[in-house]
Amino acid sequence: MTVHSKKKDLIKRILVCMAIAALIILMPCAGPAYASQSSSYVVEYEEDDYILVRNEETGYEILVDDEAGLLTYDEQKQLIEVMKECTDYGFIFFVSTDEDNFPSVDDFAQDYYRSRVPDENGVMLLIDMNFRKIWIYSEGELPYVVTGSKANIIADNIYTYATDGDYYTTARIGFEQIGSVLSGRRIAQPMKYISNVCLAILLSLIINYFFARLVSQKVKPSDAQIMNSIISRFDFSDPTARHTNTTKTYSPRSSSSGSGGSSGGGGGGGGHSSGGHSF
Amino acid sequence: MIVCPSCGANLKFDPKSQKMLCDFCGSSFDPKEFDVKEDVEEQVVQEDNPETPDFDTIDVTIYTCPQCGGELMSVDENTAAAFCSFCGASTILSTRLAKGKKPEYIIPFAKTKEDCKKAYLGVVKKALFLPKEYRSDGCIDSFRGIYMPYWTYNVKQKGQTKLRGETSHRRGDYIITDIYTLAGKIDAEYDGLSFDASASFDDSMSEALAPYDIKQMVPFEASYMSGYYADLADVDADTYKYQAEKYAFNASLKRIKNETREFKKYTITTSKEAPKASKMADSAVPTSADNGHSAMFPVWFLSYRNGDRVAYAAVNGQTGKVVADLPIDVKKYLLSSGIFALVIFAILNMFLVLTPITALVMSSILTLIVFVINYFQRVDIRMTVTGEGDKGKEFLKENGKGKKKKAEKVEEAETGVFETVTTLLGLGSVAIAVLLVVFFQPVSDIPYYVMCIVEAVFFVLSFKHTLGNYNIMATRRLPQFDRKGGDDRA
Ligand SMILES: [Zn+2]
Ligand SMILES: [Zn+2]
Repeated sequence: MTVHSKKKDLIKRILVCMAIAALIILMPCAGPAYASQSSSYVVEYEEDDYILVRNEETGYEILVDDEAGLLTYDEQKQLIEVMKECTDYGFIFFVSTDEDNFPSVDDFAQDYYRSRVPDENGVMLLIDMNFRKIWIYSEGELPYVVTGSKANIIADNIYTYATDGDYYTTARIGFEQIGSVLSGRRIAQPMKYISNVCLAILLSLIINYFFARLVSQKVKPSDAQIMNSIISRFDFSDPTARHTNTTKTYSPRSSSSGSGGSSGGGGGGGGHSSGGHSF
Repeated sequence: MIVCPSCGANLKFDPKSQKMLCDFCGSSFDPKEFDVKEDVEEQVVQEDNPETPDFDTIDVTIYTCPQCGGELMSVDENTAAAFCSFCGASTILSTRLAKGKKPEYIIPFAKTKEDCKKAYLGVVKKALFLPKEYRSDGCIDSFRGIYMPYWTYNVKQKGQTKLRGETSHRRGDYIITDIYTLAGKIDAEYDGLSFDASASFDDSMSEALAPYDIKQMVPFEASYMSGYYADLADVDADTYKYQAEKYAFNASLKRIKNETREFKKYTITTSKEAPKASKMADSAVPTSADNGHSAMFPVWFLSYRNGDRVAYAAVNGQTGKVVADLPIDVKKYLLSSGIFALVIFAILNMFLVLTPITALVMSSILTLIVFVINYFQRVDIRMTVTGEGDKGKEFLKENGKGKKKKAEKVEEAETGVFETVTTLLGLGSVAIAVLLVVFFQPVSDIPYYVMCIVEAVFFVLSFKHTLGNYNIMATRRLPQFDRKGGDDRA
């Protein structure tokens, strides 16, 4: 009984320690997002569900292309205010679509982005109603900042709003977090820490087990060691080889005379990274 | 008892000087000077019956453990033994005098008890999860010098070898294979292939403790045993004969293949699988072993009892090689795993973000790994319990000497109901996880995380068994010997 409860005590203590450690690491994650006010912006083009705004200072543009009609005009205007912060770093697109002639969300995103500003720095948040996916796509230098896993985290943080049909909140929080990532602030990623904690615990338990097995292995001596420990002599003489018989097996040479298939192609195009979440 | 010629005290063999030392007056003597008087009657019997191996007898004291029935012998008379090396019990062993068969050869102790302790501590240092009692002075002080009985074989190979070799080349759509008989004269000898002759000394232990350098083996003198104990041989000489032949067969086959220039161009197809015992003498490499010679090899032996389990540690008394059962202290294990987990966590955070799907895939894989580990542990435990693979134990079983209580054995090998249920439910949860990832693919993250948690619970529940099984594997059940008396086998 006492041994058992002691064990439980210890496990509890370890868990508490880990929880505290996780909290300490999580703490600095939450921080307010603030938009840069200094730059001046010019509306370059505006029609139904399509607004293009330019940051005069950096030359980067904000594009809202709500083809699927998810946002009201007011919401589009408010969203542009949120998106402004990001124009310090690159082009910033909000796109919604219900087009169904692309094999994947990522194909659509790449095609859309590259047909407008190829190879330029930029981030695009795409709500694809056809695949029902939120997709965050980055190009130029930005894939190093808005990495695939960051894109996944952001999409993960906002997908529930999209599930509920609140696309404005989806986009707003999405761009806030993209802004945070671009300006080097940390975004809340609780699931990252929780799942990493669990993974770390399970991994350490298993790795330690293999370590214990390795150390406690009872190693048998090799044949060479045994040979060294005994007294042996070996003499082999008069080697002769006498032919006894011949066998013939049918084994046709492989007929495929190598069509020399040219592999490759593909490649090319700048790198991008993307990630997303269904909703 | 070996008596000091100068003062009459008990002389003991000293591994360091390889001399007989007198603790009392400090004199030292050559161990070979002390001849044990020979039994005339026995020699007469031998002449009538030339097939009986050449055994003399020596006077010994047999120590019997009242708890497990384990027996040790000694040539010293007056020493009281206060603990049992087989079951670890602290109890006065009962003694009786007997005549023991005199072994033919002995490898005297070369490592002192201090050497042995040092070597042991060096090994257990690496076992991070070992309960600290195993390192305590009280524990390692009970290392006891025991001569273990071995059978050592001389294997000769003389005559014509008949290997099968072939060369092949392609002609059109055909592969032409020419088959040859590769003959030659072999004259080889492997002397000193040794196997432990005590069923109480586990094969897994004695095999790992090997090799002993046979060149240090000398004709047996009782004086080498002074100050030490010896285990009793209870396995017949021919038990390991075939194994010795197999070793020689493979060793020579390999050398013929590798060292004969004339055979280089042939692919030798003679099976590496050694022929059956009855065919050995007439095989591709004619091989035959003698009937084995009895020998005593030195082992520093330690047993540590913990409840109804016992752990052994053995140090080769000639080479200092250490073989030890290393159970784990669950507390220590969890503590160091916790610390290690923090390190892994820090590393993971640098580059890993799990999406719910990958998190679930990973937890499924890890959970499955635990189930697989548990499965193989069960297989291992069952093999140990049934004594499979241990030639000495198999011998005893065949001869009806090793009958142990069946009920107890089964209990250890059986998977508990709780463990079975945990495993089945756990496998079920993994199956659900697979369905979730492959078929349902729900939009919400919640089902993935819920399944992660469910799997983690089963992981923890099953891992409890993993640790428990590990300790079953790292320790032994208390031995029960039903030796009737020393004289017939000693
Ligand atoms: Zn003396
Ligand atoms: Zn005992």
